[in-house]
Amino acid sequence: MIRTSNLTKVFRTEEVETTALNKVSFEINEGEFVAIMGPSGCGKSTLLNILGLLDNPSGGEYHFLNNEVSGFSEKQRANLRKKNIGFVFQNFNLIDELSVYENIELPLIYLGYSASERKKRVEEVLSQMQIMHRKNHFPLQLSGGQQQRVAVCRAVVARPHIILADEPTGNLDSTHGDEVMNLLEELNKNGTTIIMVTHSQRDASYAQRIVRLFDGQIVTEDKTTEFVLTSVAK
Amino acid sequence: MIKNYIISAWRNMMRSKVYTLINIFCLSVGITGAIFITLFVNHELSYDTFHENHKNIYRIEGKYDIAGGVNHLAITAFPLGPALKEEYSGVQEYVRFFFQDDVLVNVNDRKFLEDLMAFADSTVFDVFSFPFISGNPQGALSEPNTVVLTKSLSEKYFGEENPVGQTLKIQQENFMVTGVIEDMPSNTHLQLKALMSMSSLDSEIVYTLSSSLFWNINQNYTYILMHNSANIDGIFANMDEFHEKYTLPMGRLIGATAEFTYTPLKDVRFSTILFSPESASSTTLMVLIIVAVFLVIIASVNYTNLSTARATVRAVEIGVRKASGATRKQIFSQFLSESIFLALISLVISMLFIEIMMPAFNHLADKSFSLYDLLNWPLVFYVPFIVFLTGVMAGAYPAVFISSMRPAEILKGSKGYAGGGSGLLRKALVVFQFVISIMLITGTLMVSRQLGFLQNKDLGLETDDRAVVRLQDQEVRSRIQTLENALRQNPDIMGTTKSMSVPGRGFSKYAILIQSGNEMVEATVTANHIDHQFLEFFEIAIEEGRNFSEDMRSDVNSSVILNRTAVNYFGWHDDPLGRLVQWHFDADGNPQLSARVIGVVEDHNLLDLHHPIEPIMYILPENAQMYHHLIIHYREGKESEILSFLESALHEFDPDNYPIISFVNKGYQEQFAAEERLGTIFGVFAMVCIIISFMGLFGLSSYLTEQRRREIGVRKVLGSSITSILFMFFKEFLWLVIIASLIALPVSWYFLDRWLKEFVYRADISAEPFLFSSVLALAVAVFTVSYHIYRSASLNPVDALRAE
Repeated sequence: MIRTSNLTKVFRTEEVETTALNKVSFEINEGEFVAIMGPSGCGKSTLLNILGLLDNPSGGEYHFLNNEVSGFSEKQRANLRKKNIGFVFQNFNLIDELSVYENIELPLIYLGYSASERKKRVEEVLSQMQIMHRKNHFPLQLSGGQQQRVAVCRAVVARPHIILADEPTGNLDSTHGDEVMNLLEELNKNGTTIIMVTHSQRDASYAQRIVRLFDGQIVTEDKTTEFVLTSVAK
Repeated sequence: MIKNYIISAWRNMMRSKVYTLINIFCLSVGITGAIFITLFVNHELSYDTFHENHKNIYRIEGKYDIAGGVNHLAITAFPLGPALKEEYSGVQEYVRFFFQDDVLVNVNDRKFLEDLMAFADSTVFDVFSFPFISGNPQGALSEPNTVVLTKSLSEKYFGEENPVGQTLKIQQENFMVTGVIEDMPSNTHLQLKALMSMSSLDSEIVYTLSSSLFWNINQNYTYILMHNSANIDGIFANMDEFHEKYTLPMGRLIGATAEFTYTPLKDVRFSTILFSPESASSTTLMVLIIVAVFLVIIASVNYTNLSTARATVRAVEIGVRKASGATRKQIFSQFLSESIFLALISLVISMLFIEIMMPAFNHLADKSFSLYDLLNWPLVFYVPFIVFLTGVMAGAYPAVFISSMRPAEILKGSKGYAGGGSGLLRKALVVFQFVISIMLITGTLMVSRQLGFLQNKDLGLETDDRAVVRLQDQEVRSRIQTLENALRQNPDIMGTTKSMSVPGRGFSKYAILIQSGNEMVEATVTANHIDHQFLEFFEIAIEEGRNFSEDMRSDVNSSVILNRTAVNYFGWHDDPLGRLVQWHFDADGNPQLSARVIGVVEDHNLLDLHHPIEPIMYILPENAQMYHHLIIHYREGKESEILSFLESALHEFDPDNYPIISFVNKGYQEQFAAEERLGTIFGVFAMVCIIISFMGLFGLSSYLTEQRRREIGVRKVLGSSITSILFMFFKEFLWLVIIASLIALPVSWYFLDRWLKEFVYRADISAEPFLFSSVLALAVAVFTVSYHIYRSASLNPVDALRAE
């Protein structure tokens, strides 16, 4: 489903050149739940942005659903993104001026769904996530956990193939964090591919595979259980 | 999608009400100004286009060169129209309008004094489109002594009754009403109340194609209708044969040549040649169009500045929308439609502004517009266009800027996503606003300074407390002495004089012969027939020689008095007295009158201060009928008493006519109407501009100080005083005003200098208006930004830091 080969991202300012990703090559298959881990500044989010088609790499190849997309224009990326990818962010990134319903509806609007179809879909996810009673509330009227739940609703409403989650529990306490992780696990069981950037070992344990980054390079790529075992053995 | 955009726009507007109010207010003011100007410009450009044939109608004008003095006049001689039709097959028809001032109309023994009545050829209704209410355009003015009235004049004279077939007296002659037409619309230069048949006049003068009549130029306007296929340039490019046949036979005798020019009907409004009625300046129109564009830009600048400055507030939304699949184009359209939406709201507010300000605007523009005029074509198209344009101008840059935000950076949640980049554009736009403001303030000050200069300029003659009585026909004029003697009995009347023309109004130009060595050479001169009291009455000083004497019969028609300019112009610097002047030529070009110079007076302004002092010749006429005016000097402050006294005295003296009384100084003051209007326009727009700039700066400084609260907090913790923080912020804003001044001053200097060059008498350009406008702009800037900076600087730094 996703395959990168020698993926590189270099940020240049007038004085400094920073290599955020250095020849990253890996593959993610359909239906996988992959966690990306590593210390701050190792390139996790940069990788996630490129995988999510929010940014272009400086070099290398990126095959997304059998398309080589590294040279895609912003418009092409937007097109591919809206049909296939859902995002969940650490800071929720809900639009304060829009209600829960309107926030969730947004991806469907850009996909050109009719108002009745949108209503059907949004209400479906709202009841699935059990926040139907909050649909007319505004984000600032909700708790952090509820906000992230709305963000997950928004990510899944268009039924994307992949959900990219960038530290989805980073701003939540452990109870709410677990709730969100259970939601992601549930989605994965139903066939959605999930790629998650996280600092949390606990969250990573929900994934089937962990990709560890250090200084823009992949250092290990393990099955979760094996990784946990090795680290325990150390 | 649109619904989602509107919801988002509306809730964002509600979230930051102050900024929204600033934006809406500024856009409303800009749109209001632009709509007013559009209303005005559209009306001006629509002049005379309602005539069905307007594309083929031209006014014919004359350029007369008499003894080196060239005058371009809108009026032409009677034979021109008929001669053009006779000679050129391309001319389908001609119409002449011979205008009459102060016409006495007698309807069933009720008397009315009317202006804007004209004799017109019977072809008038074939050429122009004047809709008939009753009567038949065919032959309406064919017969002598027939008249067609406009609706309002017909109602004034005959009420609701159909006047066709009725008789009324015009200047003592009977005329039969043959038709009633609609009142002239406001957008025509031919403002007429009634048309009388041209054949009522002496046919020897009106229909004869004689060369001498080509030089007898009355208040007569000639229009031609060209055949569709004909080319008017073809006629006017070479008229040698025409002139050889018509104008030159007499022209050669008096040393004069003529050239005819034409103006398409729709452009006549903007013809400023002499005697062009209802003419308007196309330069003023251009200035207004530029002002309208500037207004919209300046109002839009505030939106652009505030939106880009506050882009951070919307950053998350952009990021999410992009992550959800929105393309850059979609984000661009969303933000552009937001500014257009805001412009639409502003339109509603501006309609309210327009309704409130319409009376003042109508007064200033001398129009009678109403809000309903905006529903007429093409305004019904222009108004939405202005709104759309304002929205696009205001929102285009923010939309480009915002839609280019990178979602990857925004969504990471970094607070450092700086609004509006370096802010260079914002600074440039603030500078631009202040440049325009400073230029308009300087313009206002200079126009009023020039106006004051002209109004206080010594004319070289006394014009205050002097009333003018116009004597309307030969019979009354022959009895002028009786009237003068009667008026002198009033103890409030301190002096009287008689003359043909009155200072501050029109004057006759004479072609004369002057003595140059042993020869007589041609010259032109402004002439006035005066009595021996005239010079003393107006306090015109005699430099050399003497005044006309009542006791010397020989002064009559054989002595003249010149002004200094005439003496210099004729080259008689040292010894003008006793020199010979001849005028009043017969059909063979021989002068009938000869006179010697007996005196020279100091230069004085007989016409207006827009023209240089011309050579003037004063003549003492033999016949009292040459005096068309009796001028009265009354005691100061007795204006109303004298007015009623004159009215009753004139009524008794000349019961057949309506008394026509005016004041000498008013004639001079009216000349400044254009400058006064320009001054007011500049003043109004300068004020609007300053208010908009003030609001913009207020909003911007509020936002920028808000953004830097943390910096202020840190500085205070480190020991900075409120004063030094104030000074630090001032510096940033004041620089902008100083740069604006440096740009505005040379530019306004250039334009004002050009404008002043159009005046013969002009105030010096001095530094004060420029300094004043810069200081004013600076004061406005300081006042505006102080409020927010002081508020932020006085906060407890702990609060600011905690809030972060």
